[in-house]
Amino acid sequence: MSASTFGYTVYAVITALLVLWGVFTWRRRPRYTTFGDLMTRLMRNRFWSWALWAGWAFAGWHLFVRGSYGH
Amino acid sequence: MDTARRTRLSWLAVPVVAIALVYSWIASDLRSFTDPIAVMTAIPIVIAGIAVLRSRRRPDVAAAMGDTVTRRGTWVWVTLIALLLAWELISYRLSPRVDHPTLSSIADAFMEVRPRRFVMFVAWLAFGFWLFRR
Repeated sequence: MSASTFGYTVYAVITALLVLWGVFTWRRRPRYTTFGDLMTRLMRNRFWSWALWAGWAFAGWHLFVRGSYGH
Repeated sequence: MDTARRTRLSWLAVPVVAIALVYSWIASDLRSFTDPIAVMTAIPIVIAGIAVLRSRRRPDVAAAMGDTVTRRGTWVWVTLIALLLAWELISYRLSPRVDHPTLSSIADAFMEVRPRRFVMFVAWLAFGFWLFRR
């Protein structure tokens, strides 16, 4: 297996686990914390709400302004 | 929330979604490293920042609702997100990029054509809208 295939596989496995856990918690709500519950809890904290804002802003800036589109 | 208010909100959502789609379509055609795409990206970021500032004005509501949320399974979310970030950092520090893809390089490759860049911009806006209304 090449290095890039291994890298993509790791991302795919983690993403699949996130989706599966998301479906599981959604079906078992409110017994388990859903992704929405987690985000709601973080957004009610001053530090984490700004941290999430910074992360979201960084993602947008990095992807769209600092990306390679049109070059 | 009463039915009349729900109906008003759902009708309000139609123009908001339409504006967001048109906005994303325009933004998706702008080249990276230019002023227009910087402005189009900065506007939602500033609006979201104002939303975060305004949310600080209702601590009583937040406190009242905070206790109703379960914490069961939170560690799984934290572990999976930490794993994703750790792998991103490991890949970022290794080179060449073609052998060690990062989330950015994967997204860059995905966004080579305008329709997919449009989908990503809509997804970014939608996630922000969903997140900063909480």
